[in-house]
Amino acid sequence: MEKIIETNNLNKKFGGVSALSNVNFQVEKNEIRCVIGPNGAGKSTLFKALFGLIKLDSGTVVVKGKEISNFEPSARVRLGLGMTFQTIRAYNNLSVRENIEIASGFSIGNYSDEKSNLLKELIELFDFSINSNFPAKNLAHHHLQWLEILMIIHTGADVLLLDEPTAGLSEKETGMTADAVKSCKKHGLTIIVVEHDLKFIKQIAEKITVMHQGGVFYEGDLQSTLNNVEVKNIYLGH
Amino acid sequence: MGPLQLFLGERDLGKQKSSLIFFLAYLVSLSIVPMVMGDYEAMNFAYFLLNIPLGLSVTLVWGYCGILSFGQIAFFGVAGYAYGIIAGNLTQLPAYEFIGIGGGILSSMLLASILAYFLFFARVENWIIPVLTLVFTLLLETFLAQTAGYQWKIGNVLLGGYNGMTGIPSMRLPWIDDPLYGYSFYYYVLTFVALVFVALRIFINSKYGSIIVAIREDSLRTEVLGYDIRKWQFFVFVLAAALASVSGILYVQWGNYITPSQLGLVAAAQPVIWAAIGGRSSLLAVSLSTIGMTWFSFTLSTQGNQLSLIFIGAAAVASIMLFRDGIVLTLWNSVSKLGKLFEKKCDN
Repeated sequence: MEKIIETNNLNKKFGGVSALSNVNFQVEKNEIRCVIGPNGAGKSTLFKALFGLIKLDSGTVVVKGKEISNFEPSARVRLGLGMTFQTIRAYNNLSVRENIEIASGFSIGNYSDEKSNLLKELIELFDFSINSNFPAKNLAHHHLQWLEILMIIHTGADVLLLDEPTAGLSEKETGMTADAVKSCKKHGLTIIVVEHDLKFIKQIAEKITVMHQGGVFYEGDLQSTLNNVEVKNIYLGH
Repeated sequence: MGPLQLFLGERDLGKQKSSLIFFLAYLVSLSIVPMVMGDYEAMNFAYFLLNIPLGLSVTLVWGYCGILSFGQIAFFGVAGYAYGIIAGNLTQLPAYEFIGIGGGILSSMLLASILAYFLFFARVENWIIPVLTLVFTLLLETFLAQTAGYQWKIGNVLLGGYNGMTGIPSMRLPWIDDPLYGYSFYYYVLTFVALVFVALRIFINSKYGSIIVAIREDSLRTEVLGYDIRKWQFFVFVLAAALASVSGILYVQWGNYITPSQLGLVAAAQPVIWAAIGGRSSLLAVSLSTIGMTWFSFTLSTQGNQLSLIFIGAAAVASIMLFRDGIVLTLWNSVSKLGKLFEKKCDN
């Protein structure tokens, strides 16, 4: 299967703390990968490294066969990367419609049939209007989360980096987010998710990467990861 | 969206079609003002109007893009000096004033480009930009202040050191021999400023305005949606410099002189104060506050009141503490709310 993302020995220190330590991370096209680990393991830092939001000490990032370590974040978006943040970053003071327009580069509807169908499915699933003129800050929390996901898909992204997309969501809303992720996969997207919610992970994970102290600690499918004693230990602090 | 729809767009006061009446009334009242004044008073009122592009330049770069710049007065000054040098040396050419205007605007834009390159492509943090732009302005003032002497003569034009450049050519229209003065100068300024206002309002209500506002709202989010925000900030900064340069050129055509003190600390703060008092996220509000505050300052100064700066400073502090959105913007929004309440009561 084609490797869509590949990192080679990523290293990043903040002061004396190793945020990323020789991280070799590979994701295949159309995969759903979950990245888990205790707080401070380096999961969000890995995302920031993939997007060029931090300057790496060493290592390379390859996306769709292109070495992008020196690419600006905006250039990485043009390659097809899209990212949601741990704390939701939609434009709260702008209307929902403006959020979508800005994300789409003011070319809403100018998509392939596949992308258009995906967007139609997601909008139906999330059940809110993307043409609303109400400010985004008036949206309920779960709608804001979903708005951010819709925004990055509207950029044309086919590799989604979702950082804790179910934070603060109810069980039903988490289930709907899982359905959305599966829908994205069905339409050919690659999804990498950082999450703590095990119920959500169980619904979507094909492969799991466990990070610990800045490095990749373990990789495997859902069952083997959950059964791994050492993985359990790092969560329980042994 | 057509130009009219863009003019009435979402990013400024006066979004409804009915607001056109207000704009028309605004323009008409400014047009008839000189009819109740003499030539001299009309020239003075022209001074209030010509500062509007300078106020709008701060509104664009700070209110809409989130970059607080104390450097707009530097571009005002550079344009004024450049006009003086170019027009002062080319008096034998036809339409030399227009060459001077073009040269003045381009000079400011070039200088702004150099500064903007270092600010935005080096990703200088937003909070440092006010300091850097103020330092840049004061350095320019210091440099100009020491340009006394004949070694600082460019062609026929002396820079003049601290006493400044004098004898700057007035504006003439190609088909009229006499320079514009009084009513004619007033209407020339009104036309120029009105065109700038309309063009800027259409721009800010377009999709480009949305992107600029998105950068203000959340620059990281905007970058991660695929916009190279360095280029956008660069573009906005240079455009704002062009706006400030229009005021600088109109100023020297008005007074026929410019001194380094026009780029000093007090001058640098003025347009920021106008924007803060008016409401920095509204072109219309700042155009009104610019007229108001320059009239206020001019009136106090001409009456020999030494406290004009203190009054202006106090107004700025009061505005920031009591009217966070600006006095004009707050008043407008309050009147709009009252209007809607009144409408509701009438419907009931």
